[in-house]
Amino acid sequence: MNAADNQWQFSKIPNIEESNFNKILERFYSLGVAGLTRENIQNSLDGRLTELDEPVVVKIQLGKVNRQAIPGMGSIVQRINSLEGRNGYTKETISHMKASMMSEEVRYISFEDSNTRGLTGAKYGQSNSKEHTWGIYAYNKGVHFEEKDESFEASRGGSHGVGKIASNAASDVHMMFFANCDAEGEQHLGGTIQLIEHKLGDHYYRSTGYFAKLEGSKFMPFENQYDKIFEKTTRGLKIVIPFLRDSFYREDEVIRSVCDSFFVSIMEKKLVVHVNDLVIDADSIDAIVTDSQYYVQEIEAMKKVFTPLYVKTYKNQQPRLIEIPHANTVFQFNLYFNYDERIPKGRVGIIRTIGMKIEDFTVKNNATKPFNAVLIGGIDEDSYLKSLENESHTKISSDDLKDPALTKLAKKFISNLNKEIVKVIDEEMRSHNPVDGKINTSDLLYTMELDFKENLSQSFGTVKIKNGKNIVTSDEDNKAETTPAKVKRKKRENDGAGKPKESGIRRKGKARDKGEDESAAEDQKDEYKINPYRVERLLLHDQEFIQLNLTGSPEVAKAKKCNLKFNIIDGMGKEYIGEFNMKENYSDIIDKNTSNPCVIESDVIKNVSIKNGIVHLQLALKPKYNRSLKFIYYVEV
Amino acid sequence: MKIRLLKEGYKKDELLYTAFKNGEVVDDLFFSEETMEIEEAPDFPIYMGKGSEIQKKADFLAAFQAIASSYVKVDRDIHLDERFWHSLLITKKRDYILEKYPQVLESYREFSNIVIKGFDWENYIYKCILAVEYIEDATELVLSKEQYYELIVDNLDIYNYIIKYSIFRNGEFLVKILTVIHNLGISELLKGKITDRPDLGKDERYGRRVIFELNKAYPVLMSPLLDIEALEEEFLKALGNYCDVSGIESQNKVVL
Repeated sequence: MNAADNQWQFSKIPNIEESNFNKILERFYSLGVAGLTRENIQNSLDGRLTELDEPVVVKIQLGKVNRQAIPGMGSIVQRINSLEGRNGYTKETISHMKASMMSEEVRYISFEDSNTRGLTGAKYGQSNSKEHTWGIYAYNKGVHFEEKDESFEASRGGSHGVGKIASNAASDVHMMFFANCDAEGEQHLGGTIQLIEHKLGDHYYRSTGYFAKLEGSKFMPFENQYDKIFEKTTRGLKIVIPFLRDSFYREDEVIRSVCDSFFVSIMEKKLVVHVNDLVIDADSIDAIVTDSQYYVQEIEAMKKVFTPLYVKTYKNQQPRLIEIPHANTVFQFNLYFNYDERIPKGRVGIIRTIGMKIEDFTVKNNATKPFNAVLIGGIDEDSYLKSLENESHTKISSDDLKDPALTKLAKKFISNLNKEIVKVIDEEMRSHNPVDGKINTSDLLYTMELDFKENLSQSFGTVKIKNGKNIVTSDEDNKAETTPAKVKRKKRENDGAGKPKESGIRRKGKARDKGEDESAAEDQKDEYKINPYRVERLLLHDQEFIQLNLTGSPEVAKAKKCNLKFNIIDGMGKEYIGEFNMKENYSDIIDKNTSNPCVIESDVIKNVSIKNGIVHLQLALKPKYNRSLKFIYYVEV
Repeated sequence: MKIRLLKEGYKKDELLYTAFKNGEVVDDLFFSEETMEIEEAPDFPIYMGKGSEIQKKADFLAAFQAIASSYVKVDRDIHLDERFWHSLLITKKRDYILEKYPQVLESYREFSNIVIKGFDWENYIYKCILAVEYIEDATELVLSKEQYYELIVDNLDIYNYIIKYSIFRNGEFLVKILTVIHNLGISELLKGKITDRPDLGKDERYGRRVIFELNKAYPVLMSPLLDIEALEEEFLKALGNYCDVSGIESQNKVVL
């Protein structure tokens, strides 16, 4: 390696212990460009100049730049080529890096803030002093510099100290730069890259690389004399992410993300954001959230994104105070509440005092109530909410707390929060839907009765269908005992029917006039399932007697002759068609009504007489007959 | 080990598959609020639908062993919970799955079939869990546990049918049936296809038909409650419907 190209510093380590990429990369990658935008703007808000009464301005640029403009690419290419993947995911990521790093035209995004402090002490490099924020920001992971002013610290957005890496995650090669200009006008450029622990030459190196020069054992930043995209000439910080992922290169998504998360800051004139040529400020935000290019405008369709509603609620509603007891104190929040019948999903946007939305909070059991609300607390409330946020600042929950006592308190807090908001919802619902003391419940009762009938019909064995009317038959005394099963033998999912009508009997004549000559008539027969209550069965040593009582269904009982079919029912009540072979199980069948023998075919007994609605058979069993079988009986007439 | 449970509806979420492929199932979006806690979660084969018979057998035995040493000891609410298994596989076992079943990367179908397969008798984890529960909980075993585990693998067809029918899904019945098969030495016969009965279905095998016969006769014949001798008799009677059983006799491999 020649010294001139050696602009990226990796610390030497004795050996490789960790073969994976930093896990936080994946997490932020999954949050997309929206998460990236949110993190960076939040950092800018945290760095606001308190003594100045001007809004923080963040300029976001999306564009393309020639590869030559990115400093230190030579040594990075060499590093990436030396990486060795040890599992599927790592291999895939490395090959993606290799494929991306050589392209001539490079996508980038930059976030430049002003009216912010920027970092201090850059010229001291890695100084390990708490005062020199450059050293902390540039060369340290997982810490953020704490404010000396406690109330300011409480209102800051970040708390997990991992946000910096969000920018690395957005780059195909996990690379990001930050250009700083401090109060004295000194301009420096730093950067980081997240690789994996690797071996280059004879040495092993740590995964994180720093864009810096090494002076003794200290990292020192370069003075900023690089391409225009890195230029930062006013006080503040500029984050530049080259090799921006293709899926992140979405201007409209950036705009949406700004509005979604920071509409309160923007409306309160604490923040102005430029996205390329578009300026989002207190005056323009209305036009943006009501533009169908960015947001769905039909209130009825707002089921996932609620920003247009929040903006309206926050602008038009008067806040009401809600109080939530917590340990020894009482938290006070302002709730902006809007009731609108068209809103399909009721959500409460929970906002931190810096104006950043944490969550579209769903009130327990009230997720589909027609309202929209915005909830903002003060400094005390803020610092508590901060402790409940997850790492990506998109949800409050008790999960991130380790201390069981605190977890319990947090659960209680969330449940109290739910309760208080429910009170407001109920109150609003009542005032918009006055109760006049009388409610017409006939429709309700009708529905209940219908449901009941339906459930009942499903739980009983025999149901009759005709004309689409339902009649449920529950016991042996009931008249509808058979089910026409012609319709593909749908078992009993059918609905019952009232009185059997003529149509069911019509074809009987043909079937009856000549029993033997079934060729023409057979497919016209109606098939009825017989209620088990109506079957009596007696098994003797080598004989079986079966008696079917068909008097319950007149159209069947009227017939003189019929065919019988048996289907096996297994141990779980499932019916099998064609599983039972009559010929193999019965040697002779005598019709006891007439003392004549019946015709046995493999799946049907033919020419059985019906006398006074009764079928009576004596069946001689073959030796292999399985006496344990159970059947459901069908009559064809 | 804390397992975050996936959000209901995850089975239809193709995004989950994409995220799984990329190793990115980390977003809160995929998860519910619930978690389950288990002490350890060793790797074990979760899919034995492909491969040689020897490989399948080795995989089954490895799975039995892993489950017997860990998972079966946790609450049934956990180890019989479909969402628990799918969440575990997706969040903790990705590397193992990719190494052993790289085909899950090929298509969503493979993924559905191997990783988020419905938790019923066709699911290999379910099969293994039940098998281990039955054998580990059994109080009266005439053979060693290892022998029973082998018997299950050697008679998978029958085992599948036993756990398919809820009336037979119990450990005592399984152990008795396996003992009968072992005693008669008819594992191979039972696996065989029935070729001389075109009236039956296409892929009918002797073993399956026996279990089906017992099912048809239930509850007139309460086969799960029979003792081993009586069960052997009914077993042979049922088998007798399909082949000549006169040559089969108890080899008295074990003293009953």
